[in-house]
Amino acid sequence: MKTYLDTYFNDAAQITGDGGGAVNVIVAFDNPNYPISRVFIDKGVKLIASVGQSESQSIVDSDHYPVGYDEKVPVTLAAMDQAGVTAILMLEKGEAELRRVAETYPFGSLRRITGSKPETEWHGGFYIFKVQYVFSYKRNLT
Amino acid sequence: MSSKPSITYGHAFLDDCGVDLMSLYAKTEDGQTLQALETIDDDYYKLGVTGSIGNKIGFWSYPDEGGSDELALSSTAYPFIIIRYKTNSSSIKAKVELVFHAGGSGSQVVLAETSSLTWKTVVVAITPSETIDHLRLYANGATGIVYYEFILICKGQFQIPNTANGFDFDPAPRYAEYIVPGAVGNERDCMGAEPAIVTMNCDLDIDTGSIGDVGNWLRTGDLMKGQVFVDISHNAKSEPFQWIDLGDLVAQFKVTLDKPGFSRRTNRSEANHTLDLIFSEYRRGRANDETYIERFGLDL
Repeated sequence: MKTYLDTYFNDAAQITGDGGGAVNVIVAFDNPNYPISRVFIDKGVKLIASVGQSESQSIVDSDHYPVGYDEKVPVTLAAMDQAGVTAILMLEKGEAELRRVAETYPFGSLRRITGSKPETEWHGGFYIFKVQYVFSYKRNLT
Repeated sequence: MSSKPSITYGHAFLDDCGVDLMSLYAKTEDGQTLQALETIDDDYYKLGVTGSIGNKIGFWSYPDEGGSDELALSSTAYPFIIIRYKTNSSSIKAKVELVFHAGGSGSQVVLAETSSLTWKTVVVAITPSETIDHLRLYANGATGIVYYEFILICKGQFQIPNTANGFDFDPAPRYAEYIVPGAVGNERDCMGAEPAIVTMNCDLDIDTGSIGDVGNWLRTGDLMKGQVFVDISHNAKSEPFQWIDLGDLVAQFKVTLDKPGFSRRTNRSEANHTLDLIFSEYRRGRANDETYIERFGLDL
């Protein structure tokens, strides 16, 4: 999933700040051993697309052998209000970009967005605006 | 290890051992005294041998030995031969040989001398880059009878990548039920029975390997997934049956493909591309002549 997003997400700098210029967008994994506030403040990242742990269910053939997998992978978009960046707007641009990727590139493994939910959190002094999308996969054996 | 079902496709030559080609076979005797070639129930050949001396070799050739007729089949395009045979004793031997065009490697024994008191089927790869001129059906080694039920040369056996949505094998009981006028309930009679039915429900979205590999829905050059079944269905006019191997379900027998159903169904957030296959058992003769193990090839 991360390779998929690394390849397609924001591949032509589609995500811009409030003023229209390109901004620093990264794709990462969930649960980094690094304070998230430093990602935004020290690193100047404006939007994170973070890949979570997947749920997987094997697809079993009639001869009992697995032939593929149905998987669900959460992808969380996160942004903070910063100079030149309104987090809620950044989140909307990120969502639009994530949908564009899913709509344009459903193949390889078969990928589709099957749900989303807001997960904005108050972190004692600032909000991290977040929304979690779920990508569902159907893929062949490894 | 996983064992998937497979089915033949792309007939080049089929002798179903009925009356159609029987008169075109030519006899060669080298110690064996061959009776006239017969077909039993228009279903299988009977190669009877009444005398056995000297080299104890006797065979029937199709189209002939002289070279005036020939099969002229490329073994590269048609690399598989399937043969079903049995013998009436363990003394007399079945044997099948393919003779190639002059300039090739000569010939290939695709069924070495063997006896079997029950029907056996063998699938053999033919030496590539040859042109098959004719074939020989032998009855060697002793007096007795060798039976051949079919000889099929074809493009290949397609391994069905999955039956992930279902796989049913329904061998109907060998009696018929009919309604008696004026009565309630059915009457049973052994007047005949429906053929066995095989139903497979496949997921076209799941396959393995590259195009042309075993496990992929696309053969080399195919344009649509599962195209082999369109091939089989379209050519059913000239390919009266296919040989199916039900994989881990063990059975192997002749079938016709009644209906390949390609479906694209969605349930709002997901699209599923599926293929439903319905096969019917194909027979020319009565099932009375076989045990159920022979009929469904359970011991092959």
